Amino acid sequence: MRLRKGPIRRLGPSRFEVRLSGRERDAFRTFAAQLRELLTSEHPSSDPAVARLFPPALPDEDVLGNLEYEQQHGDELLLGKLESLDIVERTLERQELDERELLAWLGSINSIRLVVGTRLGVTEESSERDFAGDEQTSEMYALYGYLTWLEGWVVEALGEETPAAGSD
Amino acid sequence: MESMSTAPVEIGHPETVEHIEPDVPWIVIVWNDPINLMTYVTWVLQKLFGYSRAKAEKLMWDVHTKGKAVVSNGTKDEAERDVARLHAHGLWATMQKDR
Repeated sequence: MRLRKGPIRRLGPSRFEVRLSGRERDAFRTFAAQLRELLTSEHPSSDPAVARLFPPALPDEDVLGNLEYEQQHGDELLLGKLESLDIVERTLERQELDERELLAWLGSINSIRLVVGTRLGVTEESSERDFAGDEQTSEMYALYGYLTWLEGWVVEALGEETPAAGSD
Repeated sequence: MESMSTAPVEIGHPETVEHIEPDVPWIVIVWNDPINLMTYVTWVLQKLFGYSRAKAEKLMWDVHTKGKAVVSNGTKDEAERDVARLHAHGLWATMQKDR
């Protein structure tokens, strides 16, 4: 039983309907471009929000092991994120996505959320009041809330059973 | 074909033998973070490891309430591959020897 329709809905085994306004799509385009800029200009060591996207694989004291991991996997992690952004930028205006495209959306939404949440210093006890101080911060927190809402629906749509033939 | 030398084979010093580590399994740990959604973490664990919804939810709750959970184990290479896949999905994961 579904009481309300979300912005993303499964239509078939690899078919998803996307119902977002032009304004929402424009916002997503802007944040995708900002994420690309961040990924290509900053290094994890120079920006904690980027570091959150490229965490160490071993306990912090294993400096050499972490360096090796970064050399082994850093590029592949970065390329994966850039490839997701490529797909997002290509499909932003679409009303329908296949599963690979939606997974790219999810990856990019999640990365943007991690960056925004890290910048805000979100904790599990955070509430809107904590970010009401200045306009820029409260806008950022509103964006964070929006991404939370959107990501929740994407995950739900991916987990949905394929509708039986003939049903709505 | 030349016959094999009958000279005694030099045995390595015991110190060098100690460098060979026993095949200790590695574990992969997912740590709690305040940003990733609980439903997303559950979905990632199902997708990457093929866990049932119930198992993935149990692991997610362990992460959320106890701060961490062991989500997989194996050789060092397998653990490293799993950590990289978890990182690709934005989860905070590390690996260590299972002592």
